[in-house]
Amino acid sequence: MLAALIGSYALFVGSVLKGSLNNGMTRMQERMGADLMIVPESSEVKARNILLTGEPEFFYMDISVAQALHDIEGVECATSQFYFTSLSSDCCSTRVQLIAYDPDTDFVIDPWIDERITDEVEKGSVIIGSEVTPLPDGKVKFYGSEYPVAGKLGETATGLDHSVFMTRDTMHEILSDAKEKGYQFINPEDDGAFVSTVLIRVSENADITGIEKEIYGKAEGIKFIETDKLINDLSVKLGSVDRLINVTLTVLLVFSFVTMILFFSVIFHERKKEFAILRILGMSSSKICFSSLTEGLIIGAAGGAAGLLAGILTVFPFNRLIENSLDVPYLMSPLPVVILYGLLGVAVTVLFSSLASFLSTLSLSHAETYYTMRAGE
Amino acid sequence: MKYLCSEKLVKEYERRGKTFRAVDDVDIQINKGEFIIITGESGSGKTTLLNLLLGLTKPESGTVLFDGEDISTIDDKRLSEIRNEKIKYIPQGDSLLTSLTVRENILFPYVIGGKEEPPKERLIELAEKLGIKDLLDVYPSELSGGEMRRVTIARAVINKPAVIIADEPTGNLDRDNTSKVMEIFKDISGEGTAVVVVTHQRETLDYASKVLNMSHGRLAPENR
Repeated sequence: MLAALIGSYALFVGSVLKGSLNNGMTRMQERMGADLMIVPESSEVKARNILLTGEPEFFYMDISVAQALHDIEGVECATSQFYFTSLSSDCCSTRVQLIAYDPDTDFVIDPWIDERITDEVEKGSVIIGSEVTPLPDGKVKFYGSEYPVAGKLGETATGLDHSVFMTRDTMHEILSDAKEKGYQFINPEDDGAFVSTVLIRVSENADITGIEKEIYGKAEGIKFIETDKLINDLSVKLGSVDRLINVTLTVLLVFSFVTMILFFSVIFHERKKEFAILRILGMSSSKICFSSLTEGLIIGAAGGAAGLLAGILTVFPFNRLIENSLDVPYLMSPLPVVILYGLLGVAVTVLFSSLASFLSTLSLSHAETYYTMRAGE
Repeated sequence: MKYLCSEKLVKEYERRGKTFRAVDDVDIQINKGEFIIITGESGSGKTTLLNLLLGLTKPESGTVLFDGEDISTIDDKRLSEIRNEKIKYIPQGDSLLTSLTVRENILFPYVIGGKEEPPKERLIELAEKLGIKDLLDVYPSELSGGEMRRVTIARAVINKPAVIIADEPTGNLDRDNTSKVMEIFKDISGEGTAVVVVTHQRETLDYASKVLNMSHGRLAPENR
């Protein structure tokens, strides 16, 4: 039963991990929106942190970078964002990434907002990521002022789940409050002069390297993050994690199956005399096989259910810990899919267990009862 | 009326690279109500013969007929039905299922055969006759050797089979218990069941209506 438990546990946890990693990667690809991200040269790591881990960061560069994009062939559209942070003190709800976007040019956040929030986002209200919890009154507090939450976004498996989004007007209010409290990011009066990033979508078949070169010629002190490369890097990392899960899963499943075969072989060997008595009493060999198969099925189902329970107790309570330790986009698969993984785990274990018991009985059922009886004595 | 018979039955074994005949050209006829005792030295082929008669092992040649059916060639399902209902075997040593009570052990053939259990009175009457009435709800581990034997006999006779084949049923039993067991077999044969008993105990031969001797795989009438 322990072997069945291990098999079912490994299959369930492994499937949920693999499914959630793929789900996270897919959702991240869907949500990236831009092909290129321009950031200050020294802030590439910070920008990656915002996207991948949700670690709040603050950096900026001159808005002239955004203006340098005019007339560059292959740039389909561009928009800028400003990144700053709240604090983990009394003045703020919690320490999160604050992101100001420009609704007029935005092509990254807006479609995502539209998808989830049907009402107009009012001035002075904010939109929160899926992992941000508002105050009981439904507002969030930054630097002493409270802001109504216009809506909550769906999960993306990126750091953006830990972010709060607002327009530049709201950003101006927060920056002013922050300055009053003694936290100056930039002078609120100059907020129109700085951006943290410029997001670019390029035309189909455009030469990204050529575009980068051209922008480099017009702006200094910048760095490009190509989302394709970022996703490729993550895919490589994901591939390693995936391989590790596959190997572990295979080892555990083989161990589980071999242990089950050994278990049933030993048990049935010790029960040779019992089987011989059953034959003497008139039980046919097919009935004995069926009865052993049923035993295997019950043991597999019980072990499988226990393994599933252990898996549930691992996957759900430690979901956040798993997400943080894997360092790749991780988004729990939808509940029906998780249920399917659970049923699959139990079904495979039951199959393994039944097969192991059947194989172990097969040799006994074919042996003549006279010899089985003598061997069992 | 002939229930069970064999014709030119041969069973061979290999031992240290040499083939020897454990059962050599044996003909036997077992009739209704007959009480046959087979004697013979250890290794003379008695147990092998019983197993051949039950279809628990296949002969090299020859036939075993039960009620006109050749049980050495019929399929496993039919053979199992015959063992469940018609020919009951009491093997050497204990053959009770340790996880079942005495009552469950006695009634277990009905469970295997998927048949309706006999009336309660039949079980009580039989248990009383065999002196195990007070033991019906205990487990085999609590029984003495003689009690186990009697439970095994109860399991064999409960559905009034055509033939009972018992291999050393009184082995390891004291004189008193041996007599009890043989009396039971005699009573059963008196009710029409054919009984075949293999034994070393010569003092039991008087119970039989026919005594056969087995020597080097060959069966012959005992000279008495």
